[in-house]
Amino acid sequence: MSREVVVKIHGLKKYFEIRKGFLNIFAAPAYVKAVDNIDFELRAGEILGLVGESGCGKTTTGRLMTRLDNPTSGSVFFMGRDISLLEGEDLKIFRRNIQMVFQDPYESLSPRTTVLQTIMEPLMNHNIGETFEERIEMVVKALEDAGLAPAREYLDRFPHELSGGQRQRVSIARALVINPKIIIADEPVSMLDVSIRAGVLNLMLDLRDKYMIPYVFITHDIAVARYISDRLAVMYLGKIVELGETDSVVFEPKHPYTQALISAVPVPDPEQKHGRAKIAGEIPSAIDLPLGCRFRPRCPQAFERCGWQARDLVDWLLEEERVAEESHPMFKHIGPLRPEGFVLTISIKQGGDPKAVKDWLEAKRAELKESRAMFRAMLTADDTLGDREVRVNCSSVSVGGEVVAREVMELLKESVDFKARAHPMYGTILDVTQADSYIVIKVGEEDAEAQAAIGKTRIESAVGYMQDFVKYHRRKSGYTEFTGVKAITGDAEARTVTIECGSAKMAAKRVAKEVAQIIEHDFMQGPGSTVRETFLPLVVRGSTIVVRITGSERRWDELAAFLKKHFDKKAEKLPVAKGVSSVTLRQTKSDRDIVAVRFLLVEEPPLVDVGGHLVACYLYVPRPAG
Amino acid sequence: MVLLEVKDLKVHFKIENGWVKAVDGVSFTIDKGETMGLVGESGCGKTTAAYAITQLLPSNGYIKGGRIFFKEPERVTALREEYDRRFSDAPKERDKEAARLKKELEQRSKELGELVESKKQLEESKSIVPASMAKRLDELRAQVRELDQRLSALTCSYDLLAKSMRKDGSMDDWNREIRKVRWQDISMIFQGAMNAFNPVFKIGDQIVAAIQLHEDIDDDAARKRVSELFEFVGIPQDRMDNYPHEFSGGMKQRAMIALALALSPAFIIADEPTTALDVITQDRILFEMKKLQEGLRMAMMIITHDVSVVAEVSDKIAVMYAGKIMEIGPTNMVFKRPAHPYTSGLLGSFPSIKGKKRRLESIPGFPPDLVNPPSGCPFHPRCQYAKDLCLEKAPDGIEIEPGHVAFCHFSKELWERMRRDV
Repeated sequence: MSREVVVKIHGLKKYFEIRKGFLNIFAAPAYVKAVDNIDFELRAGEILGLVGESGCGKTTTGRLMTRLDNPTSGSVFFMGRDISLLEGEDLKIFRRNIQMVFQDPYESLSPRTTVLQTIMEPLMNHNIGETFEERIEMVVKALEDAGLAPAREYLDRFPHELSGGQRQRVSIARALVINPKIIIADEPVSMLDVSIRAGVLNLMLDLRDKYMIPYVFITHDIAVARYISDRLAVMYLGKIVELGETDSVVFEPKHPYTQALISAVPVPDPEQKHGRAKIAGEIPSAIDLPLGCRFRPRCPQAFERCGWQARDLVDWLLEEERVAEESHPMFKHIGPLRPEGFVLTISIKQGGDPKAVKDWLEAKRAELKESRAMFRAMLTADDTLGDREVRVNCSSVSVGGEVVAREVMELLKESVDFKARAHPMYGTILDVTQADSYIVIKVGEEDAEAQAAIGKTRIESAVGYMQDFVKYHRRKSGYTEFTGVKAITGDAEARTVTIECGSAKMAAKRVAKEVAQIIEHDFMQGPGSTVRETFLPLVVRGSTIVVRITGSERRWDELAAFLKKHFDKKAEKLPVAKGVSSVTLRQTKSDRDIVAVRFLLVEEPPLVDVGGHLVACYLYVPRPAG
Repeated sequence: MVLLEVKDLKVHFKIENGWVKAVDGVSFTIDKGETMGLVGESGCGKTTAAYAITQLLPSNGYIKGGRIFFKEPERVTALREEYDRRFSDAPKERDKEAARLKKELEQRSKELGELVESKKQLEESKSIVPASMAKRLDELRAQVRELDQRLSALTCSYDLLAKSMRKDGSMDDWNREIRKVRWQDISMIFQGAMNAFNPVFKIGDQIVAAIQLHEDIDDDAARKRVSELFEFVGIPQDRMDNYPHEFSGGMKQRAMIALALALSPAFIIADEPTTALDVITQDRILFEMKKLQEGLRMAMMIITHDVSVVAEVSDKIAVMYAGKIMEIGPTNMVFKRPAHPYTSGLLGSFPSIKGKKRRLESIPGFPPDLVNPPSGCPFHPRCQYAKDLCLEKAPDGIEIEPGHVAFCHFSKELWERMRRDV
């Protein structure tokens, strides 16, 4: 079953910045990762259920889809446009096509307006209907569709004169009256009484069958989601962990989290006692997420590839300390612990021996390898010099039109594959190519139906999209090269849109970020790299990158020389590498002796197809060769 | 053995334009160690019934009838039922009988007192107590006990309401006797544990305060008890000195359960204990509650709108609608063979994640206004089987199966039709 895609969500992220106390305004901000890189699509006429526990980001996803919030990055494509880029009239057209039904019918209706006023308001806002009478007809039809018949009896009532179920039906009528293309329903039945709830659910199903409007149905109640949705997406801490046909997800859950969630749902049948959910602990804070798979700390099936990290070793060491005797190395040698992602740096106490700590950890690893996945994920424990760092200093660079064009092109491509049939912009943008400092976008033939819906030709649409795209990235700090974009022109005859790029200046901070990426890629993750296990996490401070490594004094000198040579060589081909102004080895005031423990670097599990549905879990990701 | 008997309880609220008949003639019993689920939609009176039992009604709530017997000995219950039959239409006679028994009891008690005194004197002077005297003493003791029980039965002295009710039906919730029973014998897990703790005091201290209010023990002993309770409900003991905002939702709910268990009550009322919680947390809390209840042999009443929660934990279920009980019986029977159209509709409107997907049945209409409830059976305006009789007469309970009672005129006829297990 592959229907037309109405909405496509690609790499969507929403981070909320939080700061603790006003004295910390200069500290680095922390982020709540409410939605963290999700992809899915909504197809014509389907109901997509979005389920998860509170705080999993399902409501934020709904708000991003309706543009009640702007995403941190990523895009929501609807009717050929990225909605986060829309402005002015385009935004208004979008708003007409997407409607929302909220959770609380007691709060989402204004207590001072009658049912008629409430439902007629969207008609007025969007200038739909010629006369007052015509609009009343529309309101009456919407009310009858929402199951409030005879509708005329309800027109002059105020919300307080209606029951909860009737109010929610009025909310639905208000969403329906302007013929939206999509409805986002955020927990529409959770405030309703059970006997009323079934009626509203049935109404929503009937409306879908009648008008083929797709819904995104957001709920925490899996039984309700199972009843109403065709496909089901399960979210955990801002990510989709499983997505597939509803019954297949409910009956054959693949992800350990989905399995736990489903087994915890009580069943209205005293004879069907279900198995207990076997997961430990509670949802961790969305501010300080675990690396790798974010469900790993609670997962009963976690193994070495799931992303064990410094924090886990700290927890284990502290537990060890709690039960240890006095001769334990925890007391004699080990000082403060500093977890940084996949690397734990252990300071050595005055008079302590780093070698002893290293050997003890190695012995523990050999001993506990079989029983604990964490030790299987531990790569090395090595002593290092904590009192020095290699600094890579960066300065701003000027880049030519060609580089700017390449950068724009990469971002465009990254934002989604326009050639895919499943893309809502399919037909509008056929291909994107680059020639020197120009980007040429091929636009498809006009489509009367699409033009009627949004009131724009495809060329206009594509130009609008590109303008928004450039404007958006210009505004966002970090993409300074977008200042190099000179002109965007559409040619209806040739059916192309051309972006002309000139030279631009790239700020030092941005250069540092890119250079750090190069270091990470070339040294740490590059194929066959022997030094990857000795690198400590990079730190980017403004325009300076701090690189550290385990091992002796000699290795540090080697590293500094190596980095310098590497970027000198790279500078010929890569303009960013020109920005590396100097590489210096410096003494710092930290402890001299430390031991660094490095874990397997693990990225977040990708969504892979398992028996027809997508699952984000390493249990189903084949092991990389070697 | 019956622990709690609620008999024809009526609780009405006084509002501007009349009386809200929130609970209107509710009767049920809960045995020792039994869990009963009280199910119904919002506004059906289930929470009000619970507040009447714990005597925590708001100031505009009045008891308009009924009794709540708690921890009444079996013999007294039997006697009380016998007297109820005998004096059903002559309450004055009952008062007379009570006065007579009271007088007799006083006499016998006095006689007993004298006899005990003389026996003591004999013992002190080391002379032999005659056998006839010992026999007479035993006789008198038995008589006094019997009289005492009869008098208790006649005056309904195990009735919680009698202790605290004022003449107009309002409740004196500061009544000494009821404050002794509350929490010590009957405790409650309140709806929305999120807000049940005082945000400016440490959770451990709040539980210590509850213990010390009822028992004369020092801080250390009380804190030790709290740490045991925390371990029992699965909270790390070092979290005792945390403030409520430092706890997650599930932990607050656990702390609430610890507070309810603090004095080892015989009966716990849990009002929507898991409604605000996520499924996985709900699952764990339900599991723990069941484990506790089985381990400590406590009786429990779980109030909820979610029939699947009840299916999970309770032995018995009572379905309430518009202030009345519609159906009551063992959980299995009510779920599999509902005998009331409302129960059937309620069960049919719940989606499940098990089994085949079927279209949900919704109950047409909406719950009635309890100021002017419908005549006869309160469910008749929404009932597809309603006949003229339903408008005229409120149905009596019909026992369909042993222990399974439905308050519907036609439950016998409808029963077969509404079966869900075929």
